[in-house]
Amino acid sequence: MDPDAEEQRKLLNDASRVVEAQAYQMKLALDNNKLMDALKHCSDMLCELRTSLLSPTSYYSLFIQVMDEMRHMESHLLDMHRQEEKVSDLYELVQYTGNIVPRLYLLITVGAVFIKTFEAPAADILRDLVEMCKGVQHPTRGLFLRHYLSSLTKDKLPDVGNEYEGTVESSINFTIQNFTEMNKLWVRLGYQGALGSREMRNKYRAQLRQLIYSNMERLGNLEGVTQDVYIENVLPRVLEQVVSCRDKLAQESLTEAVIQSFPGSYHIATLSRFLEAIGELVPEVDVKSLIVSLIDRLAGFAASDEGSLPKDLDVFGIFSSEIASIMESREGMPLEDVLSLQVSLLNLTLQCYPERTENVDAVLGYCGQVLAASGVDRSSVTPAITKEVAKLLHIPVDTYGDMRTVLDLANYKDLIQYLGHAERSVTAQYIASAVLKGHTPLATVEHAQDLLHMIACLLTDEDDAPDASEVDAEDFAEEQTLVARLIHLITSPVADVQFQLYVVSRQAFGKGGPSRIKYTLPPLAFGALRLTQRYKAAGLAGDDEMWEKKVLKVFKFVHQTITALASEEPELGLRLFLAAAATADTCGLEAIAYEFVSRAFTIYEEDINDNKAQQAAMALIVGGLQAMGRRSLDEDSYETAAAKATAHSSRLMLVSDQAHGVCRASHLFWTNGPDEDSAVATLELTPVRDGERVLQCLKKSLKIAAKCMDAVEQVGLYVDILEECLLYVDSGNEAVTAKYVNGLVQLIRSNLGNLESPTLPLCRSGPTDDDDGVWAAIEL
Amino acid sequence: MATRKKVLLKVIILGDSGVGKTSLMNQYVNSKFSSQYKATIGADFLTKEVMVEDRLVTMQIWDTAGQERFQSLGVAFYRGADCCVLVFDVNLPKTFENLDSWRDEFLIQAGPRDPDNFPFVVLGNKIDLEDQRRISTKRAMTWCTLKGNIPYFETSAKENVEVEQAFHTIAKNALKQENDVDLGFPPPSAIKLHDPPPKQKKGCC
Repeated sequence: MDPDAEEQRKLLNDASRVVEAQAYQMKLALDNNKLMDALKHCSDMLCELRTSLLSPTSYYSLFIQVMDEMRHMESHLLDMHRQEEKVSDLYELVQYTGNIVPRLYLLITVGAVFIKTFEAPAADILRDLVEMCKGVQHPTRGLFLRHYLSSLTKDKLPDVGNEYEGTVESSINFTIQNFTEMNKLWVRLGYQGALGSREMRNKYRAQLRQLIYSNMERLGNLEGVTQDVYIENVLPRVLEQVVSCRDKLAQESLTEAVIQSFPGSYHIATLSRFLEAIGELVPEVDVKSLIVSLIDRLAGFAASDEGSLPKDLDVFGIFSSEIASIMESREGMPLEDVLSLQVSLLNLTLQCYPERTENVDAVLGYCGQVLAASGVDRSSVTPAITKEVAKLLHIPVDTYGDMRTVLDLANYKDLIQYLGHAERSVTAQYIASAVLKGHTPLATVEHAQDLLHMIACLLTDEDDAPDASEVDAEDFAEEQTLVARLIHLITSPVADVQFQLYVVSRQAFGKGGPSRIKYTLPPLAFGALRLTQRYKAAGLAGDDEMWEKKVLKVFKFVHQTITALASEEPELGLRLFLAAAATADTCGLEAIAYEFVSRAFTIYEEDINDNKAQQAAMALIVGGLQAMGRRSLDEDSYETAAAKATAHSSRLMLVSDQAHGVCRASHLFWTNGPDEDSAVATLELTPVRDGERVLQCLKKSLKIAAKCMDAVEQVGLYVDILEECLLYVDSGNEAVTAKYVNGLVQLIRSNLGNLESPTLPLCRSGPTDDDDGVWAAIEL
Repeated sequence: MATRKKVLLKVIILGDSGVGKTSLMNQYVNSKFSSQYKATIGADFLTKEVMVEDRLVTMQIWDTAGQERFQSLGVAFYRGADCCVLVFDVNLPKTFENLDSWRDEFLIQAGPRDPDNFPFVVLGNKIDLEDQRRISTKRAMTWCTLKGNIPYFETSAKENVEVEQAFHTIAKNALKQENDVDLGFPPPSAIKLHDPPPKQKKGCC
């Protein structure tokens, strides 16, 4: 335990024990109706309050204990009065108490009862008491004595609605006089060298603050202190005292006390005067906190049901101009404090004038100017300034919900440039999430550009971006997924505008580099492909004569987009080209569809090297091509593509992949006819039925399988080829004859016989009832 | 001493900022309500004389600052309390959730002789805003039961609902507490002053 605290505890304990003992004797005497004895013990008890050794908090403990005991005396005096004994004599009597501290406590106690007896005008007794208290000039003792005076008389002050004799003005005078004296004692405490270090004195003073505060509360609680009285007779006198004491702690505490103790409506009525007074406080005073406190108080007032802001009074305007002039008079106010004030102002206007976005813009504009003038930039910004700028950016998002309103604030967008990279990224993601959460589509090019500008740090590596190795891969993926999702909310019901939105987004996303475009470009490409369908639908409905031209433009855009992506992500590019080809095909754009297919082949040939990836890519190409079939593609184009796919399939890395690949490619020569269910079919599918080519493929596949070195795998391949054969037999391909199939079956049988393990699981061990047609054709 | 004819009770009202502690006290003591919000600074009391079970009782009711920053001198005034009133706003769950910490803080700081049986009363205030209500009667009652059957009242300082009844219970329970406490002996130091026991003298030498 710290020795001071231990010492304090001991001192308090000793004093407390004496109080207890004397109080016991006092109560005993009171019970026996021995008033003189009681007064003597009471005086002895009160003598403990003469100490100079206790810290304010210890003194307060002792004071509270004494005050609890004094209630017994007070209550006894009241009883005496009820039994028609005169209290006025006592008022004289206690003045003979030897020591001044107990004398004044007793005098106040008796005086309070005296007031209650109505034997003399309350105002006169109060005036007398407050004068008498001047006798104690020791700061701590004097403060507590005057606090006792104030506590005992607070419910006996002449006021509107009670019968105590005197005017409200006399009560105001009494309270202000007591307050002024307390303030003097309190300020003086700061300059009394005897009380240890300056630091200690300030700590003590801060603890005693509460006693000074309470005077403001008394004034605030007087019913007679109406708004007019407050304006005329209270505020000017209080402010004069506050301004003239020229003490930092006193000015801060008292201003705060005034803010808290009077109704919001009073503050509104005196706003300019009050703010001017704040401007007059000594330079060391933290005016920022005081103004923030006042703004918060008024914002709370406006939000409550106790009243509303007067229509004819522009509270925001008064604050803005007063704050501006306070700033001017106080050079060197830290930038974060200047901004923090504006944050409060922002909250005020959003709370009180939610519809006036111009106020919000004014605040943001002012902050922009201040930041620009300060020379701060994103590399030199401090954490404290960052915190305030982030608030300026986040609060409008939180309040409006709809990002369009936020983006319409002209001065909003540039503030983000003052944040360092990490905080900028957090804010950009906050904004992106808000767009997604609000489900409010950004339907104009301006809004889209604004948004992309705000989140620029997510779209490219800006000059202050951390090194890629320092970025957590998972966080990065999450961040880019967020950006990618935005595309779904940058949408317009007007197709032409939608295209513009994609172009704008593409420009922004395009600068993202390889690590980003794999997230951001695919949704853009798919979005554009969907847009072609919108154009087509409009064209077919006769709403857009230019639709074909526009679709071509979109496909050009898609082409560029996928090309940009493919150079970094070939496999993804290949998939997207195939999807684009299918879409172009449904639009009947032969040349374009063929171009996309060719691009897919080029990527396959040039950029896909891994054997597994090749196998997968070829499966996609064959599948895509087969699904397209011959709709828009003419015979030559289709034939070229199909032949190429077949050739590539036969050149895959592994023998088994080759065999399967060629088998699969055979389907390119046996495609479906028109699909009656298809809604997209504007062009009919022309079926491809080239049985001979199919057979060629199957034969080639079989030849490849024959090269397989692993006997078990080889039989497996044969069986797979057999399956394909049966499929073609089933669908009426006459080129695949029973003889051929039989031969294949024989081959499989003999191979199986050569296998060491006779228990090799077979795909099919015999005919089943339901496919008699096929099996009947094959002589088993 | 055991039967002092007049009874002086001390009651402490605690709870978060803005739940209506001052309003409840003003409604009870002065029959007044003001919709103007003013933060309470420090701690202050009002007194009221009431009849409880045929005895004249003077209640000193301490209203406290819900915001700690306004209590620069600490909470010495908790000492000697006969009852503690915990107030929350039925429309603000946070104020209800904080009751625990107010209760604990009181028991630690006031240090009553028998903390388990110290009388508390809980008031759920602002029930006039019925459509915004967030804490049900059941939830509040459950908490009170768990904490040793604390009496619970739902009040409106604004519309003077249940305020009188609540404070009557507060006075009754405080009086019970006071009776238990005041049957005391003179403090040991009192004996020492006038008639030091010989034993202690021996010990000194």
